[in-house]
Amino acid sequence: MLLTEDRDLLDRFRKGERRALERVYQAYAPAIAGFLRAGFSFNSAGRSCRFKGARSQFDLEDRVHDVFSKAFAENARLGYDGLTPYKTYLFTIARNLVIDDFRRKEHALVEFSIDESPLEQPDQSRGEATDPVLGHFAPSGDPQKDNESAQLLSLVRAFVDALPEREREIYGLRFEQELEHKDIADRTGLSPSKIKTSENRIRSQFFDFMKRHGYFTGYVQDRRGWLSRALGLV
Amino acid sequence: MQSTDHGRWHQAIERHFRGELSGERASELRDHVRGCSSCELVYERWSRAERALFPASGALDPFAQQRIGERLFGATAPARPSVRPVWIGAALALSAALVLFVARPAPVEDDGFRARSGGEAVSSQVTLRALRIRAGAGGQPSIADLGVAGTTITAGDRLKLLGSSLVAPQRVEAHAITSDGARHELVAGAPVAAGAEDQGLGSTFVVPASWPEGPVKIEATFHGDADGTAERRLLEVELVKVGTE
Repeated sequence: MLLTEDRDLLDRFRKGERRALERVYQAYAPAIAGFLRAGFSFNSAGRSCRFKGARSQFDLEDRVHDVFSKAFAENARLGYDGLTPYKTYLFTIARNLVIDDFRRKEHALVEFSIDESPLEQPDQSRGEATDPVLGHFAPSGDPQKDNESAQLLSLVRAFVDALPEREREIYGLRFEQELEHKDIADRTGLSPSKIKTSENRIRSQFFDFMKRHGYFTGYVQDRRGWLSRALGLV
Repeated sequence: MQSTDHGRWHQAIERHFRGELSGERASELRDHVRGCSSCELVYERWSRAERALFPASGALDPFAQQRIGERLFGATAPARPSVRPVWIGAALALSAALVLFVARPAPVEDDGFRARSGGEAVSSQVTLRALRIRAGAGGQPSIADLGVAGTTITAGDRLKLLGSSLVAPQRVEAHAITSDGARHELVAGAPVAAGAEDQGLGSTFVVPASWPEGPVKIEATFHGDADGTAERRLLEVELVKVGTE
């Protein structure tokens, strides 16, 4: 209800002010991601079709980016009436982007299936973690996947347990409870910048920990200058 | 993982998840992963580990949300931390601050957005970046962002300007104004597509030996194709003689 209730924000959003766009993005990105992860049914050329959801996290990130890139274009910002819930408007953009994608590559059946089941209304609540604790690592019934999830969670637990007390506290507040930096600052007395630094340090240490435990083994690191050639700058 | 190239991309994926890759480099990486199934699998591996840090998160963990936000709005600070010794960093920052304090024009209205270029506070629609390219150790090119405090240029360096436009297509003209007041054209009418991030503006430009030492202003004007608006972006960098950096 962000834009329908805050007319000043709506005005700044329509003008394309960065802070307003960022605020809208932060408010709705999780819901859009959940919608695109869960998938939905739609009708195309008289057929009942289903978008089964983004095939990978990489694909999900691309799709979320594309939704907001389109939604924040000038015509879309000015086209929003400020009366209907903005979430509905965004979901419509997301849905249309997926359907357009399907129609462009109708032969690619990896992400789509055609079935005889009746059309379903998009369930906007799907895609969120079904288990508030385990979230997307909840048991799936697939033994291999469940075993991998269990190992991964075990590694995370071992890493967290070995953190110094202050960082373990920040981990709990930021990573488990997903509190904002300013809320954590209020609780701990630390500055938001220190919290941000700790957050990045925890992330970096976690990846180092996972590498030491062989989670990412199997690829060759090469430190030569590929990037410059890839950029076409030389 | 059969080729060295995949190894390089995998290293880039790691840097991406560590928050050390941004802007054009991240865009290059994503373009590659989009067409490489094996690298996408590696990306998924890192993504899964990252999401494991947020066990109660939904489809999008906060770091992923932040990366998408950076693609939409641009990062506000260089991603890769400096590895220079602390005292050199402090000395460079102090000298850069003195240069900028003397040469800085009056600030425009600040809505809180600071371009990745590190220039003056500007509105949200367009950004300018400039890269310095020179031969580095072992013949490998060294690339530096002119927006990073302490970065200087010298004769023979190549400059590459990059433009971003959040919402509307633009045409960009850019000039360099050297310390003697002379104006040198860098870019004449280069297009920037709507939604483009770090799009190259024209060809690379070689800093000529004829430019005098001292502050160089790189001024770009973004002309909005649709609405006729014109927005100016400014970068400042110090030109030094070879051997004095």
